[in-house]
Amino acid sequence: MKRIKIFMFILFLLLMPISLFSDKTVTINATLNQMDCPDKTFDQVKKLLLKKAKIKAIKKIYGEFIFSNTYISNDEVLENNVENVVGGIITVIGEPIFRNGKRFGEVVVSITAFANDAQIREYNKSLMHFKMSEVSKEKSNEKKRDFYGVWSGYVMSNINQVVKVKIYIKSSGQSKIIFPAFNCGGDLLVKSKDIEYVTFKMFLNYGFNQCLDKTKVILVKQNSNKIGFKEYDMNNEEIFKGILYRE
Amino acid sequence: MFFLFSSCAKYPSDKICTQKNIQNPPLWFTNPEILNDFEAIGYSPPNFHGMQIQREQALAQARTILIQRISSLMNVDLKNMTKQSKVSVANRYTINIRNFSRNVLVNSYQADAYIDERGGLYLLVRLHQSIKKTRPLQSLKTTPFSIKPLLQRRCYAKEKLLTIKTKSPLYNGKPIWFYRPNSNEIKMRALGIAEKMQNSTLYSQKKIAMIFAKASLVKQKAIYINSLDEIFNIVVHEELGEEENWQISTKTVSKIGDIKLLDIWMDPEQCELYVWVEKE
Repeated sequence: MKRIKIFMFILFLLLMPISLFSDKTVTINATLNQMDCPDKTFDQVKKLLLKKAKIKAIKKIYGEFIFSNTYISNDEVLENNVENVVGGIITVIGEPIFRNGKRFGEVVVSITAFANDAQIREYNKSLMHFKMSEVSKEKSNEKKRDFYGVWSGYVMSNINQVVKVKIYIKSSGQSKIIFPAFNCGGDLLVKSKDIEYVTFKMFLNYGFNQCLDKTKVILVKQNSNKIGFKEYDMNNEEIFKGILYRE
Repeated sequence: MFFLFSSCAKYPSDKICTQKNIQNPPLWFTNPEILNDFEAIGYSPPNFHGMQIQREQALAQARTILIQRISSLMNVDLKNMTKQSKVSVANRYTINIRNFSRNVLVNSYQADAYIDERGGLYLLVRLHQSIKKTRPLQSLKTTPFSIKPLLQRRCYAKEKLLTIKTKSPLYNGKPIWFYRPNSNEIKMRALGIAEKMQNSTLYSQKKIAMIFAKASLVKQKAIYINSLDEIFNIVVHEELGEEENWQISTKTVSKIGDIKLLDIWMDPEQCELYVWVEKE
């Protein structure tokens, strides 16, 4: 009976997953072209390359972690964060081997790195625990620039009529337009966007008798506090144009 | 089905025309009563930040509806106040209904999408358990992809744009996988969208889109949702006022393995980069 027990124990040890008793070892190649870093010496390029290879090795051994949190209140996305974390402790075995790559100017490094099972499990556990219990950091009251904010000014029609217009582009992403004199207003839907201009399609929410619906509104950035405003009807005829200023 | 050539003009004078075939809305949108307990629709209005934020909002809303079906705590508060003076009697009656839930939702994925005329996005989200009980989705009539609008728009230099080789045909101006990223319902698939930022390159835009796609995969697997929905009904004399307040907070913490890039597409109007990935 005793011999059977010893035999079963040895069999159990042999059948246990090998990873429980072995380190995780990887061999990584990383490449960098010296022409991408013209201001660096060859030694500096080698250091950068070695750092790149180590990051690759960490990613291979520990994996990649994704943390995300979203906060929405009454139809507005107030916060949407995604964090991609690659980290951990590795040991590089032997010396890194540098050689020339296939293309002109390319340098390649090969390293062998390892981490033991206990290190991997401990790092994973503490990172997950830390991130799950992390409290959202208080946001500094930074002002968003570009097109965000409240813009107002006077615009002129093709029949020399001058009216006030107000545009709100909130940091949560909602965009609205108001013509106070006509008592009409609505939502602005982004149709195309670039760094210097935005094209919206306007959908009225009220004042359908006073204003045209489904017009095109184009805002062009002139400086951080001034934008050009143009409105076109469905036949692409200009209705209003003017300059708006940041409030 | 009809074709609409929108005379979308690139400022100031160039014209880019994108062909869109605007089709009937899906059955789950027009008849939401056909949905079962493992399905929900989320909505988000157009957002200046772009489609990624719009999707996040709609997905969060649909997942909240699903989690509230699983477990939620309701609290109803009734108050009746009567003030009597020599001159008048004032009566104020309030009902405050609070519905909150806090739980982890697993295996939820986007089954279908619909964009209305005003740019509002509706997403149909399902739980994996619902596969056997759901009706199949109606087939989509597509148009082949053409790189011409993208080259006309010039989001980047021509040689960079030519590296974007979209395989999928288009439906309503977007690739099919935007609407149905999990069409085969076996492998986990998701999409990520990154807008073009000032001084960004196509490489950095793609990197950000891939991170969003990985986050989307992780959220499908398991997502922690904390939601609160409050409705205030106030009756003063005989006048009723109603106010609703809702908040959703979601969180995910997970390790992600290797993923495979299935397809890539750039929106020629917004210069947003869309990637479609699969968990290996």
